[in-house]
Amino acid sequence: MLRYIVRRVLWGIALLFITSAVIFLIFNILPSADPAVLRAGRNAGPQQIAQVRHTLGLDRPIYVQFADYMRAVFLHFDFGYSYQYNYPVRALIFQRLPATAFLVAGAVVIWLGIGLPTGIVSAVKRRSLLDRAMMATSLALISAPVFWLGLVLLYLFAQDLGRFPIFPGQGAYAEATTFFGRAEALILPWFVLAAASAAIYARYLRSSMIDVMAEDYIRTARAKGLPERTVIMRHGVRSAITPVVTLLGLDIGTLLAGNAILTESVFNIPGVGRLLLTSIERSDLTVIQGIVLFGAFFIITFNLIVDIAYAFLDPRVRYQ
Amino acid sequence: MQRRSLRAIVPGLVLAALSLVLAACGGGSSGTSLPSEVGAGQARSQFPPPTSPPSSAKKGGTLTVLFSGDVDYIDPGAAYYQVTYMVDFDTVRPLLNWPPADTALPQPDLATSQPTITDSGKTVEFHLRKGIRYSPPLGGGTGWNKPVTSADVKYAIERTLMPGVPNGYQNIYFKDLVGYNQAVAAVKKTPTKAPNISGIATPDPSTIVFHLDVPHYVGFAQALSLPASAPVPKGYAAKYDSEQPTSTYGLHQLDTGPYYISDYKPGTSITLKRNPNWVASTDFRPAYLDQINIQEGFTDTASASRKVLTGSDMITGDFTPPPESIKLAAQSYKGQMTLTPSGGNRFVALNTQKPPFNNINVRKAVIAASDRNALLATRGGPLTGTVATHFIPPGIPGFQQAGGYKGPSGKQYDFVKHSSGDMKLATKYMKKAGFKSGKCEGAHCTITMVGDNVPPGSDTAQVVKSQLEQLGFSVQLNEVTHDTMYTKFCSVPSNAPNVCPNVGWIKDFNDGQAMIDIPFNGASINPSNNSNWPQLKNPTVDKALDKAKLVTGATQRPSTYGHIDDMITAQAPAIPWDWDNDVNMSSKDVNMVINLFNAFPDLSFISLKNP
Repeated sequence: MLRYIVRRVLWGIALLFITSAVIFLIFNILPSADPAVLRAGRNAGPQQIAQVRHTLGLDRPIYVQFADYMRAVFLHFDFGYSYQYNYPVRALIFQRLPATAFLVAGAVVIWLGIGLPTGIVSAVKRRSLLDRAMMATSLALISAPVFWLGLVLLYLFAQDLGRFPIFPGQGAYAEATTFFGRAEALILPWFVLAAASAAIYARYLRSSMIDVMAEDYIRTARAKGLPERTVIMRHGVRSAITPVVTLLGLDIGTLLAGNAILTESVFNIPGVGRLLLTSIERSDLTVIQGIVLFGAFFIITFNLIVDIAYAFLDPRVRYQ
Repeated sequence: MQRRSLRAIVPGLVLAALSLVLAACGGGSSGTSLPSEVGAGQARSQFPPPTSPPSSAKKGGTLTVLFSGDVDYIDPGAAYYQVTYMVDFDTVRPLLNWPPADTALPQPDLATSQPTITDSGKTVEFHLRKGIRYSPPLGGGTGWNKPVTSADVKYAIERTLMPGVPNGYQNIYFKDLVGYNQAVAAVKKTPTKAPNISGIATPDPSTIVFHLDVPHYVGFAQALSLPASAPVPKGYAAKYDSEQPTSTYGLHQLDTGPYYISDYKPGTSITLKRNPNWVASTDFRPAYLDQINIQEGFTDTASASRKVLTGSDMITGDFTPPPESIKLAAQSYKGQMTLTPSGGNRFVALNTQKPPFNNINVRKAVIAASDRNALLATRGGPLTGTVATHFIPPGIPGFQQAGGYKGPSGKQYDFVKHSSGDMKLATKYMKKAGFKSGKCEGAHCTITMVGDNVPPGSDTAQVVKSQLEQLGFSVQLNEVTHDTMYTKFCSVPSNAPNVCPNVGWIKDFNDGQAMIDIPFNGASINPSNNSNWPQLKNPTVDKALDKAKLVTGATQRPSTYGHIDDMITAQAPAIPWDWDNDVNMSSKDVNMVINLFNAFPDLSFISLKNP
């Protein structure tokens, strides 16, 4: 197991290196805008732009820029400066990460808390009225665009805009100063972010459970006289949950990488997703690069965690 | 709520959802449905901007300002964005400044009085107020406890030449200072040190003298109302300015205004608090509020506008509310919205350097055919602006002289007379251009256009496209982000398309030079970062613009620039279609004050009804 973990970590580092190289090439050989012009400001003359380009090191050969960039990232954890904000990229991302992490953590708890029991009940009571109602609801939630759902909830329940002003609304997270204040501000965003995932997880688990509950060892467990609850939870769910765990790792990784962009935009949560959106709009290439790298790191890390978790969840899985 | 059957509820939910989606997307192409007889002037007069606080204004309280974006630079030496000035004019004290109702001439701020101008306009001398002190620094730490001196103003201007302080106007307004070229050469050698500009002299701590090569003192003096002339102590700032690749002074800045920036989280928030070292008796600003919280990131401007209108102690900041929000305010929250001419224009640039728009008759045909009312509707109709008939907007000296709202008179301007478009006249000009059918035919009729990819810019581009197609052009429209549109296409002459539909200019200060020189002077065409988007190179216009810089006099200067505006209009380099209004909204418990200089709320004059 230890050898497996070490091998995966080394492979993860190699993957990060390759990802960094690809990202650098994309943003520096095919940039969407000229960063020196953006940085030099409106009306800057050719001489000024040239001087800014020189100060930023953008007039050096691409392989020199690449070597400096990789050295800075891997040896000093330095992702450069934002051309627009005039601020270290690392500091910008770390400023935004807590909001995104809090948003994702709460949403994960909700979608697992709703999705898993729903999937289990639907699988166990297959084709019942309850099963049909749950699957119809999950289909609706999967189909609803995140930004639409967010706006609907704002216009229904937000204290500043809503018909039934119950929960804090847009911008409440940035205004909150305490942990519980921030948690309260995230109630609506949590549900918005969790809605589609809960539905997807419910459907996944239902499908997986249906397959697992038809296996021979389940029949054997029942034949041995185990209570049905034990058969379902200890034998059924434990085997059926592995695809859900895979999905969970990927989802958490991508959300921390900025994939909660729509939820953060609708509710004005100052997270990584919103930073990514504004950086794309302003062609702030160093920030986009930094966020993509961070994203790759999170995805690789959570994939590794998920793979390790398999060994504990599923006794059939053993790593060499 | 009445109970209804599911069948009745579902269509209603679908319609509600659809309307919310449209609201979320900005719904740029739907104009306000005002009665057609309400003209632009009438519309604006219903929502006049207050330019002074009420006599009952009280001190205290915290105001929240909602922003969708951020300031361009937190460093006042680099700031070149009207929205940033909303912050800077409350935190720093340039030599001159603009009280809310003043648009003709900036008033002394750090200076004690208007400058003394001698030596045939080549020497400009200011005396500084004594006893002005700096605030605690942004980011904490030891600040600077010495009073402001003239050397600090000299350093503030000199540091704008450094590549780490990307000031976008020093090469336009400060280039006539004696020693400027030598300073540029020096900073090229040593980019981490602010160069000495020999033309800025400081004979004593309270006097600063500017020596110019040429007597361009009108534009130069007005430029001293921009934040770059706000004092920066060299002994404090030099270490931050020497950092590579950019100066970090902005993140550690010292302020001199009634407020100082106590906290800045890029893209998230800016907090302004009372400057404990500010002396009210030295300042024209009353500074009623205790604190101002700027909250950024409200990309859904419809919800943000509604939040302001229905909330408390809030105002809109940097965004124009979408048409449906303007309509809502106009109908239900009348006292909470103001319309102010922004001092800016919008036009569709026609590339005069390549076919088919290198032919003036083709350009005139395009302008004649254009339905500029439809273009204005993409931004929200008469409440959001006025159909333009030339390039200097209302409120800028030269506007009336150029023809005012009606535009220049004379048969040679017939192509710009009909705001709904005149296809008959357009056909006539196309025939004059050699197209016998009255529509474009042949090799150069496939044209390229690069526009914004989000509303309302994308809506405007689509309207322009359909109007060009009526004249027989085949338009290849490429929609990109705003920055890409400028930095890769429209502002790069070698890569510029035939049409740039989403360009415009906003004044740097209230003078015709600030409005039409850069966008239409052939000498200002740059290989990149070009702002003369039509690439107009007309020797008569260029000569007139160069001569006009030296013209002074409260009557003669506006008259000169008004005449040049008409000359430019006659060349038909662009479709002028909008003189913007800035739309600002406030909560019902805010005493709003608008600064007419930048058409934005003046935070130093705003007060709360119940602080």
